[in-house]
Amino acid sequence: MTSLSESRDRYMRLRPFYAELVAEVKAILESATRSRGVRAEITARTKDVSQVLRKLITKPRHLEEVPDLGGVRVCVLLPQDADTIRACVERLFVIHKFEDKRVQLSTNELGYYGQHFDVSLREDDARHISEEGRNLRCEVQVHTRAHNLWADFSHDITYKSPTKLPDEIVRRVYRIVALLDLVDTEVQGCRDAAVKTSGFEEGAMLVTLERRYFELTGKPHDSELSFYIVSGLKGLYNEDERRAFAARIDDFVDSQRERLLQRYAQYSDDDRVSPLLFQPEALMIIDRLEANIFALKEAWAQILPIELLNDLADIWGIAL
Amino acid sequence: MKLNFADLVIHRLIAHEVPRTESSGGPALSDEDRAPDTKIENFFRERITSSLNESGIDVVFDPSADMTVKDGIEELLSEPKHLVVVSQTLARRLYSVQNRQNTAGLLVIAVGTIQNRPAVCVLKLEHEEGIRVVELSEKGVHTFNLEYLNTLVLTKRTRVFKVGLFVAAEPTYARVSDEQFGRGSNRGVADFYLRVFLGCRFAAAPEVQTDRFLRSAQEFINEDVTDPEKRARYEQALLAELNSKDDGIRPRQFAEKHIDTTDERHQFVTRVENAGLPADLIPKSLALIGNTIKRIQMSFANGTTITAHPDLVGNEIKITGLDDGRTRVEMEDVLKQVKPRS
Repeated sequence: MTSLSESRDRYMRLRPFYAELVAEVKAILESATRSRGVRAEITARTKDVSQVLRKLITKPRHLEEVPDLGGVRVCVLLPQDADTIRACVERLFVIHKFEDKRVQLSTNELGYYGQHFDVSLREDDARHISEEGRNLRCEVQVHTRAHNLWADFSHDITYKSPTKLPDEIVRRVYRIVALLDLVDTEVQGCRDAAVKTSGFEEGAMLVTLERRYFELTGKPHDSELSFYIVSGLKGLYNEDERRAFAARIDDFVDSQRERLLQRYAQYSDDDRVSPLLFQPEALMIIDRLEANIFALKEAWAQILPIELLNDLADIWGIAL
Repeated sequence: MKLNFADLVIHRLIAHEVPRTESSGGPALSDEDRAPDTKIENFFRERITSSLNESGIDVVFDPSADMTVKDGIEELLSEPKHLVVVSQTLARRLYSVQNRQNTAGLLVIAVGTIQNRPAVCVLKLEHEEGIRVVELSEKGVHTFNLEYLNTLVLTKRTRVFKVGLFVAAEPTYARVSDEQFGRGSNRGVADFYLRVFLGCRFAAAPEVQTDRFLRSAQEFINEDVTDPEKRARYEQALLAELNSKDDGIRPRQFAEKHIDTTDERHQFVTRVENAGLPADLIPKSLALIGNTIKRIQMSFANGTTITAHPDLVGNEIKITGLDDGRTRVEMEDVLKQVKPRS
């Protein structure tokens, strides 16, 4: 067994490489969650030297046996999203160990529901970081915001408590756990019900489109027409694409920003311009023009005259 | 070079009247160029874009052709301020080479940029006729007056005009569109603007592109389509397209006309584009494939091959896909001959 001082020196030498590792894991997860339309807060950290030493004093062992020297926490709003993240982690990293805290609890127990993965980078991704960090592992924790609150809170009271807590306080802590469990269920249930409400999905798509549209021009638009067109064309995106709609539109606008700004500048004083250009859904229509022009034309024919689409296509530079 | 033609920015333009060539006379030349206002610039750009997209073909200057236009374009790409003098030279050139078959019109030359590269557009526009309606109010009575116009040169529906776009590159990127390209076998008229006036030729050999188109279409039919009835029907349409009198293939139009679903159409066009071909217009030549597109051949897993005239498939020869993945072919006719074959 190495001495505490040797372990300390070793961790201080390795810590920058752990920092590189967790930053890379975080970046990979951010990209994956974004493309799947999952709203996730992802944080990365390396353990403090003092925390590591305290663990080694409490339970003497080799440095590498201390779990989560590097840690990435993925916090999602919806319980369903945690399953999406799990699939991402399994696909994107080498998994050495997995723990689902929920299945470890019996039906009459309440507690923390997170999923913990012990991971290292796949060969292709490992090339992006220093050689010394390539074989290191870190922990990825996935949980909902409610359970994140529970994790922070429980860590706070257990970490700082010098002695066993009185029963009354423990009872209150469990009441909070029960409440957070209920929060997760209700958040998911409300979301599922809201999505099924008529117009909800179109409204959410329009919020995204308007946000990016007003970055390009300040011209007002016809909201009723926007809603009508978005409703008519949303079927051009499959369920996964609709879920990741914001990320898709963001990617499209970011990659075509210069061209879009040029078009809006060129037509800002041209009163013969296609009425569609100065509508937020123009971004969606152009995105579909680029993706599958035939599907767009077919869907378009059901809602508006094809000449309108033709004019916008000419402005964008695509032949119908 | 992959360009979005709608990125064109027109800085200045000039127009010269080029009448029908007579024994005496010449073009009516302008002495001053103009910066277009927003509406004119946008209108020109939209029309140029749609024409180059729908009927454009990549071309190169032909070293064996007259160099007047090439030299003029290259001068404008490096020194756009010479627009007036160079454009006058081009107008005189057009007047001198056209024959009595060519109609009178306007030659418009524009200089600008596209994707930050200097660019020159050469447009030949013909006069169009139209009626203008003017609303009147006389003694409290509303009426209207109709005025005959023959000074229109470019409208949203104009089909008879020709565009050449030249972009600074090494060598110069050039694309020419002519609504007469690819429609019927009217190559003579289309060739005049491209070859005689501009001194250009197609950048890629039509026979090679046609061969490549046939291969990519076959890949689509045999690899992307599973229903045997559809396969036969698409093959039949493909051969009809290739055997038609048109001297151009329009893959996107073909897809819309003959392919059933939007996903299949998209797959088809993607196959064509992945073969390095344009999706809108490919000049057609059967020089390399002429003998291979007369009949449809169907090969089966048991070694049987059926060869038939395309017109018979779907009519006298019925093809049906079975649930187990096999195909039923039905035909009734008089058996004329049986003979051995290797």
